[in-house]
Amino acid sequence: MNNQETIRVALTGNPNSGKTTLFNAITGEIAHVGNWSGVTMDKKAGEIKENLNQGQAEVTAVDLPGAYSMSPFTSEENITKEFVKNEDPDVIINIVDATNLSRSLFFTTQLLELGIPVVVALNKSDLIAKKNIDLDREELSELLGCPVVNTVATKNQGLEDLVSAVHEVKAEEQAAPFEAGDVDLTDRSAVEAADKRRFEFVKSIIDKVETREVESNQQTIQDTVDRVVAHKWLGIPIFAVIMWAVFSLSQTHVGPLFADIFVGWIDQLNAGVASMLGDSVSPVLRAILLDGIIGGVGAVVGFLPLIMVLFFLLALLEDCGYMARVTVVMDRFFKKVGLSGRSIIPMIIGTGCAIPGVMATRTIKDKRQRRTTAMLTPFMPCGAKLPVIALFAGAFFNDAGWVGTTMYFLGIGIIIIGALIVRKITGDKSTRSPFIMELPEYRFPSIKRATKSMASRGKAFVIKAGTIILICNAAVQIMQTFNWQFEVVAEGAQSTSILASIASPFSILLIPLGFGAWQLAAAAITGFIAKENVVGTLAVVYSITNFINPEEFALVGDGTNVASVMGLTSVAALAYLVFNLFTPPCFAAIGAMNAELESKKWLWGAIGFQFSVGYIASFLTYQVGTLITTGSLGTGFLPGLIAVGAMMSVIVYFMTDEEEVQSEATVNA
Amino acid sequence: MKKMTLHQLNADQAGTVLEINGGCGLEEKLNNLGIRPGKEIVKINESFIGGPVTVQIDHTKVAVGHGMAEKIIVEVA
Repeated sequence: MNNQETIRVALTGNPNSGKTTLFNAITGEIAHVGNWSGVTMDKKAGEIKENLNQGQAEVTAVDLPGAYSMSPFTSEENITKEFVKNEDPDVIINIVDATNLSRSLFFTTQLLELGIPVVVALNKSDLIAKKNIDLDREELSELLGCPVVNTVATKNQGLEDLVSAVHEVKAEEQAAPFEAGDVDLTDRSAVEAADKRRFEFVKSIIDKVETREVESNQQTIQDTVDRVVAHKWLGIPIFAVIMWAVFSLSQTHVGPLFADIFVGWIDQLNAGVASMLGDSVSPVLRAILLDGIIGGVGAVVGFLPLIMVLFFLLALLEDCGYMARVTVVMDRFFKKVGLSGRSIIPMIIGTGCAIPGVMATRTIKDKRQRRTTAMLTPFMPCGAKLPVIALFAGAFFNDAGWVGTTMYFLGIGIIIIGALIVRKITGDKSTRSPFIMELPEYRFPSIKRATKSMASRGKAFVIKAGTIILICNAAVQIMQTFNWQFEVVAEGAQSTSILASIASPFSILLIPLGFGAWQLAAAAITGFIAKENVVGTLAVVYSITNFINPEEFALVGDGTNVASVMGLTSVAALAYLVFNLFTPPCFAAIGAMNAELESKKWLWGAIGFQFSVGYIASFLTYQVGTLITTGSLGTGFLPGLIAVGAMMSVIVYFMTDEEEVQSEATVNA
Repeated sequence: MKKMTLHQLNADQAGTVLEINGGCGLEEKLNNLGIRPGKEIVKINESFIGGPVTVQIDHTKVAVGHGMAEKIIVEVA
């Protein structure tokens, strides 16, 4: 091989062995990592950093989802298998968890059989000493017939050695220390026998290279923690308390401190631009620039600190290993409704953004469970919906932490009910996909990793605010400023604007929900482009320059002011919040759903379902809430009830897949 | 020596995996995580009635669904 050619290196290994952390360390990328299995769903490529490469040929590293063996069980393991078998990488880096050699080497021996040069990275090697494990690295290298390098990806240790080992072996032919021979993959007993021999071989290696002082069945602090957080009865209340704490911290305590600083900057910018423009500039331009762009985008960006704090706290929870336990705690409930504990992983990822969440449903093998999870994941309030929650919690509920927490649990509740409905309609004839998951060790969460995770999610948020939301707000401002004859609408005649005339027909539908104003309808519509738009649009249509009062250290210090401008009761505001959170997600998330549902009928069914659920939940919130607070039902109860009934029948129609019509008949019989 | 399912083990009780009464896919997945005949396994705890069972195998913890735990037969000394 020519030295100047780019070589391709595949990063493979068991789930949670640190592949993505190593990938980020050697390439400088910031792919999302988590302390649990199955975070990486797709392959991702990046160039290795110059300083590690020592002037050798360029190296492209490809990060692959974790796999336990070459005969895969879940479809993301397939990506790994297909890649190393068909795409012919020049070198395979096999990342091995040094503290768990006995399990990892099974896959290693399979990789060694491919003939592609392999370099083993003994990752987490700093933990070996801590656990009193003695590993003979040279002996291991000799027995496997490939270089073995100590690495600590989280601390950037051993990376130069790893890259230089790659360059050393790149042109070599890999010899396999263990050959399974030709095994008929359709013959179960032959496969089993071959696997058994492989395990024996791995065991013989372990016996030679590893000595452990601590016996594996000794009870540790780790076990004690698990007994508490994954406790039979306490597990769920603990989860609820933790989520509530996360919200209180991000929304009422830490978040607003930073938010005030941001809002101060935005105000300064606004004032600065205003004075630069002077009075001679046309009022239309002023309106678009100041109210539309700076006001609208500023309203969204003002919530950035709150979201960053939330992302930071969620990243800490993920990093310390708690999130993996949540799947165990929740499995029981999900199984009851025809899903599995696996379904919660997409949903937790969905709290950041629904798009990777929906993509994460790929780990679910059962088709019906996968589709159901993909269509229900967007009900989890995502990062983009947080500004909406924060705004309404601040304006109408005095920043109460319960608003956010309730929205999350309402999301979970809707998901559970939704799963039941889907199961009822499609019939539960699928085999239950067994739940099995490796639980990562608890570790002290790293501030650095959480900061990185927060930064990468925050960056995506800022980019969105600077592009799509900016354009939308400018467009909303323009549509609000002009009428259809492209004349500037007169003061007091706002209802003749383009925006008002587009949104008005929709607002009629919203009367039974308690918020039949065209401004609110317009904000909900722009919300489908991106949920952050809801806040931006509200800021523009009600010309509220900012929602945060810098003097009082409180989000929307003038809450009542904002509330009175919108002219909503608290109950109607809650209904509006529910409507925005639980109707279909943004277009990008719908695109992701389209990819995972693999059926147009399911897609339209899902969208119809989400819209209906949002409408019904909002309807109930408003009508029941109004009944409780005022003693009589809200306006438009009857037409609303008819609409709700109509939606129910539409759900049933769309969700009936051709192949599943029969089972529906049996369910109904 | 007593034979029982993994699910029937008490918390903190150790056993040796005897057999797995599952389909090929199930068995392979369990094998991959180190759960296979001859291995020592320790039950850590179980969550909620009918929830997954957490076990210690090799040097990791694995959560195994309730149904699966009933298909894993262990032998207790």
